[in-house]
Amino acid sequence: MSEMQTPGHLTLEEQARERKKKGHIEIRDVLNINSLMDIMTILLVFLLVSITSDPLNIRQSDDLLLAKSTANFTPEDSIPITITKRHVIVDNKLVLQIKCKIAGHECTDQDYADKVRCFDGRHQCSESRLQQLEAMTFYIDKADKKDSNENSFLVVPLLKRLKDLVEHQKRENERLGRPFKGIATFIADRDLPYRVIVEVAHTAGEAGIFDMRYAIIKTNSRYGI
Amino acid sequence: MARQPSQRRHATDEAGDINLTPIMSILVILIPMIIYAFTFFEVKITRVALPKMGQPKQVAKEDEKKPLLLTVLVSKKGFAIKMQEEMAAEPEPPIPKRPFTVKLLGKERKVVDYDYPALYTRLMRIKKEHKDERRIYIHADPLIPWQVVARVLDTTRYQLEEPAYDDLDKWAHAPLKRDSNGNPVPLFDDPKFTVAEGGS
Repeated sequence: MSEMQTPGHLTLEEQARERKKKGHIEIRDVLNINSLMDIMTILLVFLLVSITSDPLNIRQSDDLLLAKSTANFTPEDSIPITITKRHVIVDNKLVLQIKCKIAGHECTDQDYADKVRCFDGRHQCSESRLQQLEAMTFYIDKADKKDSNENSFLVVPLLKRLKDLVEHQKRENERLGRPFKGIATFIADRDLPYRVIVEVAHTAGEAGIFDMRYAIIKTNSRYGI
Repeated sequence: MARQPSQRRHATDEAGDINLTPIMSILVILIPMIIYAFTFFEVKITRVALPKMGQPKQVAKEDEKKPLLLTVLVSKKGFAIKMQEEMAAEPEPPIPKRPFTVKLLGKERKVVDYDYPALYTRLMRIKKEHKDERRIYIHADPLIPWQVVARVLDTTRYQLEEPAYDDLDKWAHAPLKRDSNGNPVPLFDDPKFTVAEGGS
């Protein structure tokens, strides 16, 4: 039996035709685009509000993976100093390069990629490669330091850029009648050595920034996993 | 133009709804783009005072209490704690790295890492004797990764429910000790980086 018969011996199609003749409203199963539109609009507004309310707006990559911590202080409007594995960026402008050495030579793109992949379990690496990657050293070139002195903590191009920014902010705040707070937020990669962090922080202090904050990713575990 | 009565019954509404399909098309493209740019992690900050060059020195006036100058030294081997000599009853023994079992991507892995629970336990003992002290100096070797320093800051900031921990997992997930107002009880929550002098 191909078509279902009803007690009145009419097929379903015939019944529908009958109903139409008698003036019944036909209900069609179409997707209501209005509800979808509502969902999309709410989603769009939520995403736009979330993005614009984030003062740091950090995008993580293999070159910039933040340290994890349970610290719970909310970021404030401040001068962002981003220190990735390759660059120092102040207020979205590239200021200087971070150098990298591995086994006596300059790091390649493969080394940078392996530094992340081999330790987060995405890639199987040999024990010797892991040891090599652990000894990967990031540093600020002595040519960028005061008097080209390797031991110096003062990074000259960074000092210049920060001094300009501080002056600009001071003038702007004076015009608006607001006090200058001198806050900087360091957005630093988790693998960078303490020395680089302190060199950047010391230089910021010399430029007149005395309130330093360090961006982290909030986790519930103190160990980060 | 007037319709005939028979046509009027079947007439469709000419002033129809707005065609939402093009708007939907734009939204369908726009939303994945925004989601791609969206950060699905919570970024917070941790505060640390301006780094100090050289060993921490504080000259106290005669009538003032001498500063503790509590310093956590971070090296490749582990932690060491130093304080103003006459204030420490006996020199603090170092806290070497030790093996731990951690769960990584669902698998149990053995790692040799810094003994953060032991550092916390030791700092809690010092806090008992120096209740008002909040300043702590962090002195790391130049090549110590920032992640390790961030964890040290995490360890030193607040008191946890227990005064001592041995297990890494228990310490890592231990809830904060809170006062009657519900605020976390500080341990040494005023950290300052120090570095060995060597030009400026």
